[in-house]
Amino acid sequence: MLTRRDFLKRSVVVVSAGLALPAVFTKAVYAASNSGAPDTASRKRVLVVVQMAGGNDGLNTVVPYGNGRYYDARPNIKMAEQDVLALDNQLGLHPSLEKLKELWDDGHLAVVQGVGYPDPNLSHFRSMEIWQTANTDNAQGTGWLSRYFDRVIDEQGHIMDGVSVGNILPLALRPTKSDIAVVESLESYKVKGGSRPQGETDTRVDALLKLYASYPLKAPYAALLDDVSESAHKSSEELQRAAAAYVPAVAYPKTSLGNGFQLLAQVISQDLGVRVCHIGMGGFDTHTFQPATQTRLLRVLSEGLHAFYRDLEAHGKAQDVLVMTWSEFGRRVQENANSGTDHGTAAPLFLLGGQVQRGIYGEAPKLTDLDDGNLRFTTDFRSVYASVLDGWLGAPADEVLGRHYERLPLVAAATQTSLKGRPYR
Amino acid sequence: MITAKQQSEMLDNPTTRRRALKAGLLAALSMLTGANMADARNVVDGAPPDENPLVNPRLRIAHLLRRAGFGVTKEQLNQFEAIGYEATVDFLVNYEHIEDPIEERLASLDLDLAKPDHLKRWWLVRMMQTSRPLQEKMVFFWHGLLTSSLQKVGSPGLMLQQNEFFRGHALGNFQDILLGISKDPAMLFWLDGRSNRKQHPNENYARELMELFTMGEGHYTEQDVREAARAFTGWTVDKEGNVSFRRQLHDPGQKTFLSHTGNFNGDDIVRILVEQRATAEYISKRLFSFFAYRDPAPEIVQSLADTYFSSGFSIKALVREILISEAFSSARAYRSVVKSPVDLVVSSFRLLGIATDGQGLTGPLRLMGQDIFAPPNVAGWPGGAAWLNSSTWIQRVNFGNLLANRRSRDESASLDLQALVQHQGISRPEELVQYLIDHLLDGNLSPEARQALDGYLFSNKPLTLTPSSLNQKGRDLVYLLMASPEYQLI
Repeated sequence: MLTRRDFLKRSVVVVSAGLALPAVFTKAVYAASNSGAPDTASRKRVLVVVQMAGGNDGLNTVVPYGNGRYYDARPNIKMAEQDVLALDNQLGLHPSLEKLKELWDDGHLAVVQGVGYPDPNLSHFRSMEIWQTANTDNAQGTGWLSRYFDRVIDEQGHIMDGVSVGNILPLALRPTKSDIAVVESLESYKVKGGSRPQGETDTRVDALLKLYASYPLKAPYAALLDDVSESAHKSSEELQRAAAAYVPAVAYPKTSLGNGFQLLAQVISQDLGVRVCHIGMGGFDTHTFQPATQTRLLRVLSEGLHAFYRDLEAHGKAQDVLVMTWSEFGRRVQENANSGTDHGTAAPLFLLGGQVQRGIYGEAPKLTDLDDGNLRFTTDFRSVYASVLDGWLGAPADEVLGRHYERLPLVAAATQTSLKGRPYR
Repeated sequence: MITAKQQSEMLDNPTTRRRALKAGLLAALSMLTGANMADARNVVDGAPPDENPLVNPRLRIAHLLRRAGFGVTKEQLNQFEAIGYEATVDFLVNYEHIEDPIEERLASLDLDLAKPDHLKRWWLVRMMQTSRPLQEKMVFFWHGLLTSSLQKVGSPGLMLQQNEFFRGHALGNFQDILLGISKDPAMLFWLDGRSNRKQHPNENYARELMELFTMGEGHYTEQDVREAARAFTGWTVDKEGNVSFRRQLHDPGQKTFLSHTGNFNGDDIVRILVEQRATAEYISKRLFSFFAYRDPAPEIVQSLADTYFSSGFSIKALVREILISEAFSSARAYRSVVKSPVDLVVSSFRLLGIATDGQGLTGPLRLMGQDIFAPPNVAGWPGGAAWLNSSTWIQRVNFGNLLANRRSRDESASLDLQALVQHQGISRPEELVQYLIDHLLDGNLSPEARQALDGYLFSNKPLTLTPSSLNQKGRDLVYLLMASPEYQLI
């Protein structure tokens, strides 16, 4: 049956088609050329973005243990050579990244060195905004993943484009023009019924959705309320079904990050059509007594990533997933007077996945050539984004990012089907 | 030629294949207008209805009491309607004349304010039961502007102290507020003023003071940030929250700040900042956006900025001007702002006259995206469209369920529809439906929505006024109205 709203929705197609033709046409062409038969692989692929909020100290995460300047700058908070988990004869992982090192040994982890941007901003807020909009120029801007979704035309009938763990849609995904399920926990992600038998509850939910369907189209926030209610209702039902069908293959750590990763593994393993996932943890702003805090946080991260990866592997999905970490900045090279570090600039990030070729990519910033005590970045974070967008998601990276950024050697070109490359050294 | 109205209508139409189509429509609109897509969306969000419901005096007062407070019961609305709009504004802004027995009520709750959850409940109950709603609304405004968070401050006691400072200066003088907050212990923790020393200046507070508290980006240089940070050196706070000025940590040297040169201290920096036109415009815009709607026209901001100076930085003068302005009572303002979770929760209890000690409410609030005393970052809660995503929507409608099913041995803490029916002299179920639509939604429900609502209520065990039906379909009625799209807007 055609409802009033369906009718209105259809009528919009007719009214607007001529007007919107140029943009839709190029997008349609793009979508056809990119998501047609030749490259079905990129349709299944998922990008998982992991935020480390607060500014993680990169130098104590991927430690330049072969460099004497590092020890000079960090008398109280240094990682001793015998403690780091060596990646080569210069660099080693923080000792609490033991589980991540296991994935390195198996060949699934890549480190990108010296990631940052020109004229670094040392405000958390501003720098997060820069990373999430991929725009260093002004305070306003849309999220880079939102712009990615602008270029994606969805097939009919699937429920979710993305999942973001938490209760706030990250700026990277705003404004939302796609169906992103924002989920804090599966238990709470359910429209409650009254205290009566199941059957009657459903009619109440139906009645509620009818109220949304009849909300006047010209009223404030009509489009958003319509999208959000429909997307929430459908995705919650879908996720509850997926939950029933999914059995974790590993024991996840009992942390909120671990719970979040388990939720994502469930979504990915049940083929719900998700392309982008976002998850994060905070606390990396280690101005005082850094060692204890960072040790704890990196362990949470490492154990979460490890469980997630092994679970995906067991579900045959490790080849379809690329994980990318980010933090708004690294920290000052010189430790401060409180066994901590102050806001800094460039830092390494991790890429993890079944199709990632192990390696250390990019150039390590020089500890001898600092900019006002801070590292000079060697890889623009937008080069990482560009490489992930076209090399992994098959998206027009230059359009999404507004200009061309050099691709990392780990991803060659848009046509490439796997994320492989040559380690920098 | 396509008119702006047509554009916004087109934009506003969601579609079944809505992702594809909306992308196209937004692209088309942005091509036509040169606006980016985020702006295009804002145009939609602010699209005014054809007629202004606020020409109705009763709806206008209800609007005022939602925005400049947290809503009222029907009986209270009757009283305010009797004294008229301007008198109600004056009543609200001159709150110091209102007797407020809230302290005794709060004391009776037996809360341990050293516990974060109890502190949050204390404030929620205060918002629900105060007789000075505008004062409390302003405390909420200041908490979202001059932010601090338990996450970093740690001490509930210091957060409480800051909250009381805002209460004391709710409609006070902006210069006094900035001078005070610059030496507030929670703020000294939150923005690292305590580690701002002559030898190692910390720029955090100086930067946010200009970027987020006074002028906004683009009105100062990095050099101004460094110089202001030097001026603020010396104010420290110990673990117990005792603030002191330590001369040996202060940099008494000469500074050049916003073209002024002198041996400035932190107070001097604040005095220079409050004199800036950019500050006048910034605070005017923030207040107007908080009470009326976002992106006010430049004339509105300029007029408020003039008042800011002519009144000697009086927040009361600004708020009064906003509340009596035409723009505040315009079609564009009416039900055009997404309710913050705090507004949603607090006003629901107030509208239905349900008493609570706040237990069990901070969890849902956090899930809706507003953990009070813990804003997400120094910029506070972004608000607007950011309040609505799939997760927060589910929490919002589930809150409707929670409240609609409120039952307690304590009658005042229950939703008692039988008592309501008796009180209001309701004799038919349709009257109850109309009463609640009027009270919760200003009677503002489209015929289609009304049909959908009646379809549910009057089929399969139809709503009657018997106790058992009121307990089922009656509560469902309250739920559906509180979970409705109209109710999500303030």
